[in-house]
Amino acid sequence: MQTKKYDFCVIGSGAGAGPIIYEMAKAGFSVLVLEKGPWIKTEDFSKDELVSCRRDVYTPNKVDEFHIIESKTNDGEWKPLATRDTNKNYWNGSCVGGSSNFMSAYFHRLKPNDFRLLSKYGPIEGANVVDWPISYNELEPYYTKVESVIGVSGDVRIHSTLEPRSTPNYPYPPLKTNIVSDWIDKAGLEEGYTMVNGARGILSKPKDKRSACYYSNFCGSYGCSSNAKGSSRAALLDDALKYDCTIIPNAKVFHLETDGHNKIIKANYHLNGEKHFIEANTFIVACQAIETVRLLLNSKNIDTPKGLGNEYNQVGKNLIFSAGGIGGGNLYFDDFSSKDVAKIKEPGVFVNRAIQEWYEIKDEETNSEIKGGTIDFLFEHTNALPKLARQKWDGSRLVYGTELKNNIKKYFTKQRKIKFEIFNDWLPTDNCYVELDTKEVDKWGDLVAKVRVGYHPHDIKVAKILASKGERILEKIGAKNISTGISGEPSPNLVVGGCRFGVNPKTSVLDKNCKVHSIHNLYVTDGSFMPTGGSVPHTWTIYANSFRIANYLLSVNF
Amino acid sequence: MKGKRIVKDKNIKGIFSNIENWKINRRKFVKTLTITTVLSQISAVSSCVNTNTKVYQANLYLTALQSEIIQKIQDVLFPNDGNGPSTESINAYSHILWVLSDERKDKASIDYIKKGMDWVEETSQENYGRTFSDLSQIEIEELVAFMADKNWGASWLSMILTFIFEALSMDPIYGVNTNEVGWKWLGHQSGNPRPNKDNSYTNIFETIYAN
Repeated sequence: MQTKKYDFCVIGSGAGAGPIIYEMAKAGFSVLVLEKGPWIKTEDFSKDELVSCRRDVYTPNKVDEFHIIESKTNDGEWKPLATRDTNKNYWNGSCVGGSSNFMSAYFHRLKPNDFRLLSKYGPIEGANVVDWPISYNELEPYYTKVESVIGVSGDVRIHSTLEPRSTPNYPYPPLKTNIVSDWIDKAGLEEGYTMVNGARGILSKPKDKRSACYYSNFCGSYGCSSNAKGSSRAALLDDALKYDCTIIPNAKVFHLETDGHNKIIKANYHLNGEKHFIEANTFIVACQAIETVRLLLNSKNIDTPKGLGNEYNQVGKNLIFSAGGIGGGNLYFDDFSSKDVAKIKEPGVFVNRAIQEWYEIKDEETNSEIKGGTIDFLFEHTNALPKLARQKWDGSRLVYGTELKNNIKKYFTKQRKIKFEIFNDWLPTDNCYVELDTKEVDKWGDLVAKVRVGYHPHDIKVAKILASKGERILEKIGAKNISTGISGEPSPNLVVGGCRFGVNPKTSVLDKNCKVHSIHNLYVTDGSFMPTGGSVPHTWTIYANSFRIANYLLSVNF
Repeated sequence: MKGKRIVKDKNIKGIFSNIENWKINRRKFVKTLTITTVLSQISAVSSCVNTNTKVYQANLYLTALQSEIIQKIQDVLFPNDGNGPSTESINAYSHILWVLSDERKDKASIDYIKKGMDWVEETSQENYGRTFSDLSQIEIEELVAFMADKNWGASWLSMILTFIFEALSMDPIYGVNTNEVGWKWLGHQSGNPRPNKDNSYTNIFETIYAN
């Protein structure tokens, strides 16, 4: 039975929630966190591929909890499929700390022009491009705060698109890198530009009770065993718990209740097969874009029959992913000296190099400037299973027997694969949105989210331009079999938007402080607020914006 | 073969996808059968193995014929050819039984694993007019080649290969990759910390839901 009324009730505990929880608790407010997933502690994590990658241990069982994904068929029809019946998974870490536990932590800031995409580059037909209601300068102090509080390591190099900074460098020195990073630097200079020394949300030195990175070689998709990775759990929640902060894991919020006067009074949730509720003065929703939209829509009532904040049918609109693709090539050991081979094979250390020379591109078709993106270099993940699995197909032919074993042995012992990932804007369109399915429900009986995942052809055009730049660098460092895969397939782990912030309530869900326009005490602080996604991974921006909102909440609550 | 094609066209793709993305009913807290239990099934089989002629027995999860089919198919897919470990040395068969014993896996996936074994027998009857047990080694290899050339067969064989890969590369705590024989062959360096009793797949749900 709920007895206490809290100052803040936060739904979700990942990167969008952590800064609010941390700042409000530290300031003396009572904070109650409702997290749908379990509480996985640092000591519960291991580098077990079976647990981390082969079985759905960190994400919900897709039979119990699933999404309906609408993709466009070759015939041009939108076809809905339940993820329980496909190999798609739109969950990204359902536990205390959310998906930040499992991120690779490639940290890039947005750049000033990302905040004014419309006014800088002009409209694009079929895309709902807008300017942000805030500028880079307003977010910059919070990017800086993330560097010190979450812990960002790296080394700022002057390059053509370096964003303005209020401090000269990162508070933590760069993580150790492989010899390949030196070769990439050299290749960039030969091409006429400076390679970015990529920052990571990973500690290179100890911080308080968190240890430095120990170069486990198993980072992305794995929980961190030293707490060096800047997850919301390790970097923020553990500290918040020293104050008046309570986290309830396995608590699935299904409905936010209003008082009939545009104020939320209760969060209703399922726990251990029973329904409970929490009362609070202010409610924060940060469940990651798709689930945040789902909760607002499922919270409809007689006063808000279309869902919370949805008076103008904006909730769920303009969902965005990260456009781009992945390229790679093989560094065959026979092509290098034994000394270099030993260095290429050095486990654990990172590549941490990126190209941002083409964050803005001269479009030869239109002779105008268009938005480009980022190319991050990295080694193929150490996980054995994906590397093994890739050996069993030669096109559509199943490879097995002695041929397969020979291929496996060669792949594992005669080469190392170097890759690059392209990040460019996934333009918001009318064909990418979240709504509630009308029939399908999760194991609690709540309607599931239906997501249409259409993309804009412009995304592919930009990605292809960037791919050619990445491939050029791989050629120069001696990689072979270079290829790139570009498609309009979304990356479910890079999803934002759906509750864009803005000035006009008719075209946005949130105001500039991420408060739902029509609700007095409801804020959305995950990546849902982003009207455009930029051309970098989103996590640093989500963290920074959440700190910005925390600062606002402190200013209005004191 | 018509029936199989119908099944293939309508269902296999989806089912196969499920197999590649295991489903776990973590909320049930149904503890998977322990490795010890599974290995006791293996020892029952092993006790009946003659050094020259294996005798395959039924166990909790498979009929004697299914048991024979899966082991012989595994040996064709991943032969003991002198290059790296054999299916026996990585306990690939016991891994299949462990997978079948996993009560967190959905029934459709389990059914698909077994269905493929039935397809092998059907193919043997259709192509050779006799049971799989009576096929020569050359005929078994022909049968695998025949199946690999069909979408429905390739999908199932690919899944069986994935289980072999798991047995090859998973932590030995799961009773596979014995003495790290797979890791040594691949030059694969495992990450630290490695799984222990509390945070391995068998017990991790109990551990994290107790927090």
